[in-house]
Amino acid sequence: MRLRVKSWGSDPLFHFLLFGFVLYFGKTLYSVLMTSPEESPIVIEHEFKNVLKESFASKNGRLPSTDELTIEIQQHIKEEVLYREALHHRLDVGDEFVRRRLIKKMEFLIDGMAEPSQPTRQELEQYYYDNRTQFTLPKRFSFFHVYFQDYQSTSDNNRAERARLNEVSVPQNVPDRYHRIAGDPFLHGYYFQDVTRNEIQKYFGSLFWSKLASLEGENLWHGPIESGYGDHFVRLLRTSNPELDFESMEPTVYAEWKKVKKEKQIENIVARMMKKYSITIKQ
Amino acid sequence: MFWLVYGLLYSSLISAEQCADYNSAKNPYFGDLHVHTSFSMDALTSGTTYDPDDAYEFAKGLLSIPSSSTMTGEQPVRKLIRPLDFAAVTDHAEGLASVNICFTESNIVYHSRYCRSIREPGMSIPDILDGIPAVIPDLVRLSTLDSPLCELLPRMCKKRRIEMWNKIKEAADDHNSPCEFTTFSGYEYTGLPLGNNTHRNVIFKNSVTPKLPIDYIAAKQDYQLWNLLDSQCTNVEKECPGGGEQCSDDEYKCEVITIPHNGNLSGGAFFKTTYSKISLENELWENDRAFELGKQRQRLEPLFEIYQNKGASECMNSQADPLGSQDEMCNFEQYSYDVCEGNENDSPDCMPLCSSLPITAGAFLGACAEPMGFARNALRAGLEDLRKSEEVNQAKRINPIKIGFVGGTDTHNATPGLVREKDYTGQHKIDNSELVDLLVKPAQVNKNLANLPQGTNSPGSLAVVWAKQNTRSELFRALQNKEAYATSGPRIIARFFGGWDFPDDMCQLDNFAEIGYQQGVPMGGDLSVAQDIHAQPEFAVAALMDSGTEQGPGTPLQKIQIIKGWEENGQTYEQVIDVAGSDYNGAGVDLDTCTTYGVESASLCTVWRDTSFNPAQHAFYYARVVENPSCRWHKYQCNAYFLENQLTCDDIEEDSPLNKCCVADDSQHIIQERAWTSPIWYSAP
Repeated sequence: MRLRVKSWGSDPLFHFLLFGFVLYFGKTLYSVLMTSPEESPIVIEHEFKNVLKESFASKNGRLPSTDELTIEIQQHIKEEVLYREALHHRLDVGDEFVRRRLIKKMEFLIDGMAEPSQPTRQELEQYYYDNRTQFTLPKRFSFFHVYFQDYQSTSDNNRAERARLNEVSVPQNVPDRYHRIAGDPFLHGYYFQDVTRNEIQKYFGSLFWSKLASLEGENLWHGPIESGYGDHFVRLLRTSNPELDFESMEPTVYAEWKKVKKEKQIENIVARMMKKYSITIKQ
Repeated sequence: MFWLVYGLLYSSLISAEQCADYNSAKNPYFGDLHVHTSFSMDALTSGTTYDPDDAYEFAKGLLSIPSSSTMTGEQPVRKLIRPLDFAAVTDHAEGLASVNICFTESNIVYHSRYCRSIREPGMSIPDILDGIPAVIPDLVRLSTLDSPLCELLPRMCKKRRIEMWNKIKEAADDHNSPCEFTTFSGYEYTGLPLGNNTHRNVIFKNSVTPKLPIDYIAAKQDYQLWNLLDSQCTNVEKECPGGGEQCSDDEYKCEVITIPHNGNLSGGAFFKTTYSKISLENELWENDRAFELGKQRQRLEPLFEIYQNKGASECMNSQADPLGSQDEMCNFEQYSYDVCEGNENDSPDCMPLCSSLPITAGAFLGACAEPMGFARNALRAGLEDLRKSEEVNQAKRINPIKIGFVGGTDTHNATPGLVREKDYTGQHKIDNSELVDLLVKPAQVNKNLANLPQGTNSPGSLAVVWAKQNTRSELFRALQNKEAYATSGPRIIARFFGGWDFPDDMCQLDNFAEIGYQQGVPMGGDLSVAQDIHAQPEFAVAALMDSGTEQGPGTPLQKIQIIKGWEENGQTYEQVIDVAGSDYNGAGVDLDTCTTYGVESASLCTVWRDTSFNPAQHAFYYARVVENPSCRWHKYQCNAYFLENQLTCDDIEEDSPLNKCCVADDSQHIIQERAWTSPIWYSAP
């Protein structure tokens, strides 16, 4: 499980309160589970009466009379009894809602416990070199395409079309996106510069992308490549796989380093917890 | 993780504002501007645990959210096959404090009755608020949540609200990555006057916003909301820490738009409360108040969410209402069914027109319906208002209802953009249990206020924005200019331009869009004044089908329609014109397998001239791009369920919810997905 950094998860006050709650709740739970329900006393603290008063006031627009407060307290006690009975009968077990809330709480707690120390510059740089592939930009493609709405794909046709296209002069430098070399009009244009996988999938669909990605040989006409719209001949101008030096991306490397470290710490904490359990996975 | 690194990297690289995919003729960007997470009380209490951070991760295609459904969806987990280009988390502003306080055990109020009563998941809770009966569903109560708590404990309440709002803004800022993925800070204003829906999403350009979201408790009327947004956002001069030139407007100026949704459940309240039609009208028009209100409305409310989980709001068929439509294509994901026509054919249980009741109330719960709440019919009312304002004062004429269209899901599962019919397993987590839960109560909502009709819900839609590049400033400007459209889910591409003299062969030319911009106006724009009385406007419209995914191709297009509305002697009229493709292309769908067949148009394009144009009449035009028929979400689920349980329709008892799977009328199982472009207006001189 991957735990994610929450901004309020790092608020010390929050941890303090949460810890307090866990201690309190843990104690209550412990005493409830370890004793029969009759043995654990229900105590209504004086402060809690104020909470009940406030709650009454919010409903009725005035403070409760003594009798009314007694009714509220009795009602609360009844509910507390039911709540404890529910815990005693372990009705919280298997309740997905309760389970998710408790898991979230533990995640918050663990998240706050994991706090990696500051790395040295060497450490960071080493991390950068060890993980070079992560710090490259995605591959970008620049290409022309010629679109045919109704194309008869035969090897003869294709060869002839490619030969014909090879004769056509293609603007280099920064061509106009809407400069059509041949074929049918295509709404998104004909020249695409430095586009990524996402963009190609958006304009041409996944089918086209998977074929384009496997093309080799720049400045040659390939195809036809099928898309949801018809057939395309493609002339790949260039592909680029930009890589950046350490200096220009130190903040990114640090962010990533910290994230990975933190994830590892969290994993360790969870692993330690797991050791307390005997786990059996049946076939 | 890779993409996060990449996003950070890439954004750090971009020193100039130009992205790699910058296109002066603009690119289409797909997104979702209506997303709820566990920060919304109704989402949280129905069991959603994913927060705004998770929603943005989901939108980027990086996060899988398990479905608790037992339904046989194509994907056991929810995950976007195609990431979105932009998104805004829009949790309910009302209840933000309660979400925090009542779900934090360390808070002293946690144990209060108020908190306890709203904490129980998904059940109807008795009398948590005086005067609101327990039968009213959670959503209705939502509009007043926080208010008892905040009256009692104002300081704690305010503090918690600010805390939650800041978290929402932080999540948006953390995930905004220029050129790759754009986010906006936002929230939903959950207005419900007299039980009529006036919910609006409030979207900010950046993280410069009011300290607190302005909610229904603070602003009961639409103009109060806009006044407060003006005074706390638009009109606020933010001080630039570095002084003068270092601060661009993009980062330091508060800008905001509101996007109303579910006009279908508004009883017309969106467009009626302050203008024309029912109240205050003469007084308003005479003292320029209507003009000022109209200007403000035009400025702050440029768009309308035309279709989402709770039904489509394009148009409503009615012969009894003068603004009603008569267009069978309006019958798409309708919440208003069997509306009374005021004649002898009416069924005894028919749903009344809101205007036929002594007071318009409860439209949100299906008590009545009104064409005025629907986009097309409201656009017509706008033309009427324009004419009316001219009669009072030509110099201060105003069309207050100039709305373009966007889409949204209204997901309450933190799953923005999950719009494929095949993926739909309910919009609230609590829906996601069994197929029958989603199918029950398909109709007759007005008989049982406690139960909204789950069976009539559907996945909702996407917003598409035409912009030069994917940055906050470009996307927000496009939204303000209404250069946006909605699709009912598929990634249909739609271009729409209006002008006076487009080349006849524009569709065959290399640069359709460039010509459109040079010689006309795009969707959301206004035609210039006609040169002479014989001039006729032309509309160039081009569409590409959804390009498909690895999971399968998109559905081909069937036709493009242009919808024209115009005003003549104070009355308005509408016409639907098929301009490209045809109904009779023989396309269909095999209901047993949901495979489609028939003629396949990957693209459609045409230039249409309005030969019945009258330069003295106000008008609007918008395009509707319609796909070939395909299966509605419930048909996919029914087929899978029947297969898995080896059932046929003969096994289903008459009173079973599963009977909805077996309705003999095929048209109930089929939809035609579509795109709606924003309109182009013509105002007579």
